[in-house]
Amino acid sequence: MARVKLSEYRAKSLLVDDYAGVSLRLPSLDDDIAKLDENTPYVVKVDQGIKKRGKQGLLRLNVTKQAARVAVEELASKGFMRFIAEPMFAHEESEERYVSFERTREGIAVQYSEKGGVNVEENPTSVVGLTIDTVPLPKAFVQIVMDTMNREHLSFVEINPLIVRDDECVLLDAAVLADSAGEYQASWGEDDVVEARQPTETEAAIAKLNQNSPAAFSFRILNEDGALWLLLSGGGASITIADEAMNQGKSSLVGNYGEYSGGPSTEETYLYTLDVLRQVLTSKAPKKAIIIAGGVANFTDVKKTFGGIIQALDEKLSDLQAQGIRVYVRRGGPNEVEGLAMMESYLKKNNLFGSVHGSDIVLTDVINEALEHVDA
Amino acid sequence: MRNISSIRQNPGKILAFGNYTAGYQTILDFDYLCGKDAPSIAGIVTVSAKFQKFFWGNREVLIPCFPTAEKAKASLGSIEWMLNINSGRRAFQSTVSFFDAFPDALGGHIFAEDVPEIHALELYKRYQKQNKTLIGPAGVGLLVPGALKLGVVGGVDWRQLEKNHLMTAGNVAVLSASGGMINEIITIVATTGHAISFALCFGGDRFPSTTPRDAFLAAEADEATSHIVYYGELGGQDEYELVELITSGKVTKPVVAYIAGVIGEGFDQPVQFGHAKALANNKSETASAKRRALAEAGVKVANSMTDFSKAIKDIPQNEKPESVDATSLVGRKASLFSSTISKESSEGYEFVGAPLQQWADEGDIALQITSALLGKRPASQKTTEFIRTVFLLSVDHGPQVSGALNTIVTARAGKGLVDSLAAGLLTIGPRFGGAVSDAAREWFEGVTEAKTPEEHVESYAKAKKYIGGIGHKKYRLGLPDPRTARLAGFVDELPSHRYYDYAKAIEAITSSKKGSLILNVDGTIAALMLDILEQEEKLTEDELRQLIDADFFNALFVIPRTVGFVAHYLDQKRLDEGLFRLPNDDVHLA
Repeated sequence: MARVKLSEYRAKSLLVDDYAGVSLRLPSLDDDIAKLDENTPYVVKVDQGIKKRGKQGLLRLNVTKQAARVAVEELASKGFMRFIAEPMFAHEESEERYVSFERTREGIAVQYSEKGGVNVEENPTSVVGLTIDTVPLPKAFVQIVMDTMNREHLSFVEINPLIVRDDECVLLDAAVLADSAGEYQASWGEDDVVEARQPTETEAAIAKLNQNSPAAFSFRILNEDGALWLLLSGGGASITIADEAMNQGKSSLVGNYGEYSGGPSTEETYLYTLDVLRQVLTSKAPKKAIIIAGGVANFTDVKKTFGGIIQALDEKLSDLQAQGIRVYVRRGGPNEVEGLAMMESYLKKNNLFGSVHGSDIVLTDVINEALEHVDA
Repeated sequence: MRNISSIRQNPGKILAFGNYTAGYQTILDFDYLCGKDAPSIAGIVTVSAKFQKFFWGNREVLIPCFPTAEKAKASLGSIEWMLNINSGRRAFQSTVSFFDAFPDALGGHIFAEDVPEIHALELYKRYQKQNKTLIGPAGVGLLVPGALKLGVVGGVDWRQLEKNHLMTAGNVAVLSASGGMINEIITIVATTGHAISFALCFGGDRFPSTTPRDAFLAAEADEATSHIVYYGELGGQDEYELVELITSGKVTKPVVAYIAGVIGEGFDQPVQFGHAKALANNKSETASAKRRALAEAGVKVANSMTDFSKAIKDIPQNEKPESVDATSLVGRKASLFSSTISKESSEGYEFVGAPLQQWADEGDIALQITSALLGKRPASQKTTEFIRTVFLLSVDHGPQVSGALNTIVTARAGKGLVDSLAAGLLTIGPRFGGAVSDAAREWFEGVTEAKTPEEHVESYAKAKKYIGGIGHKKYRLGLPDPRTARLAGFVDELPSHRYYDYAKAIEAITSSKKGSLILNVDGTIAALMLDILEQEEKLTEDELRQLIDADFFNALFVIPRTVGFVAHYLDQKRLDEGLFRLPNDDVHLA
């Protein structure tokens, strides 16, 4: 579906033979620390795909095996879970180079600078666009990167700093974006994907649902105490509808962005809705609205998916009623008439009715109706 | 990309990959409502069936299914388009197999959303760069009103097609990154009194084969198109290519656009939205920046859907499209099963293509039965001759054999014809009478898997299994079975006979070990029937395998032996010896 960030530990394990780094994870910290060498000084870093860790104080230098636990706990106290320890590598700052490889339609695009390191962005003119044939790096190294990118479905590899001594290349830091659609052919897995921000419980639950279904589900919290909660369908329509809140200057009221698409079953839609509703019910906004909306579907069955949504609403009905939540609906597509009629009668019967529309109103009008309720 | 007007003039045929009943049905409905003579989907590549049933109007048609594109090629001839509904993991391989089998095809559409980038780029290089029109991966395909519906674009319910006038060409081209939004926009175009010239969804993947740029150039080149409606999203640089096309005069037709994703600018970190490409890595990739660039190039850029709808409404209207008559699609009901064998017709009952009176005039029951077994008239007289001979030689082999004995015992218990015959028929199985099917499978697998006769014998010996077509209780080397000798007469009439040769080679090995291990009558029937079907009826290996799996060869025993069982039944009724009970000394009471 998209490009995902791999941990530095996994990135380097893929790119470097006999990689000497050690992954340190909180749940298995004792076992992980046991893998460190007594006599080697290490650098310990947060490994969650965050840039400029040195400037943010997210790394510790010259850490011994004995001191590793303290170093990790200090970093963990800033809200991180995943770390990496690598042997210290003595070098001059002037040796640091920058290189990145990106998959493009025309082939692998290379960016290269002799002045790499943490300040590369301050020397943008030193970065030049090259090709894999013209980049002044050892051929064997470039070949390894190409082979790894193709074998492991990597889309973007950035190494900064890179130290080159004769034919040997040392990767001091590496950031890799991998193609999630290629995971089934690669040796990395879901566990190697990092996010700078820890997913919330609901986000994690929906990510899991997405992984286990041929249909697509996404959910991202924007504001835990939001008033507008979006249960949208379609990759494009969902952005368009969310845009309308922005257009009205009310994006701060939006609790989440998310969508379901690709013809999910009734059961899957039920599970998705249930996760979303749990999040809606914990919001402290005084007046809340749920927006169930989408474009005119090509193939997602309105009646089937609405069946799942109603089942979930029904399970949380007393809580939804107690909080005075209103539901606003706009949808079209196969079995539109039946699906909308079913939804309208359910919402009216249970005092949740905000509005129900088919494709006869503009896609985004439903946002305005909901805003009138929550922003009155 | 293929010129839209040439598609309009000559839409071509589609080979579909994967199972998607509702999606395919709507393509047939589209074709039907456009007034075509036949469905554009000529075949489906799937392992699950031989045919799939669809409505053509309110009648039903069978669309043939094939396990591979190669097999489809053999029976369909030329195909212009691929519609690939396979998963992201299988899309690459099946697409390659399509273009390998149909190198002259115009292009296709890949529906899957999770095709790896490496695969997408390889497909782009192999096909789009070689003048094919490959739409996707991802998205919902291409719709040219009145001509071609390649994908779920426009909906999977004919009511959607009818409501949006998708059978008649208009003047508005709808181009979209999003599959859901293209249908939303088609609906807006239709409800504001316009009709579309074509709709193309290039999809929201990072590397679609047909790019927005290609789509715009196609709209510019299409004489039916007067206006372009475009839906894009945050992420990627495509819109700057469009700006270049417009400012350099390569696209001159007026454009109305909406670029979604300003919501993405409210976050401190870039957010990945639903489509793979929908992530703004830098300022230029944000929705706002792209809106500005397009507006500066003269595009009418809407800042909300309400404005977008208004801008579409303001597009000058051509004549209102005619409505099509879709009443015949209302309330149609799928049949429960299909039959190609017989039907009632104005001439009475028709059986395998001819009225029963005609069969009676021809007077050849062997020909009628042979036609019944093949599902059509045999191409060669030799086939009928052979089956007639098999029937004449298989009618009965004495009252002692299990099937006849059970018929006799049942008849003597006072049961009627049907019960007694059933008792005999139900005895036929792996040890009695079923050997023709087993032998056919043995010879077929040996020949098609290119096993040497030695290997074949060895594998059976190792598994401690008998070879069904080998061995007889009475006959042996030096004492040949007169029935096999009679059947062997057919060998010389065949141009070639690889199954019979194979069976004889096996016999040469087994009979040299033990004189009774000769090719028996079942093995001979099986081998010669395979050779005749292949040589005279021109059946392919796949068709032979289907017959073997369907137990066709057992019919060569069951039909004549039914006559034998009925004979025994009637005989017992004439003799009327009373209830049969085994004498005590014939049973060992352990």
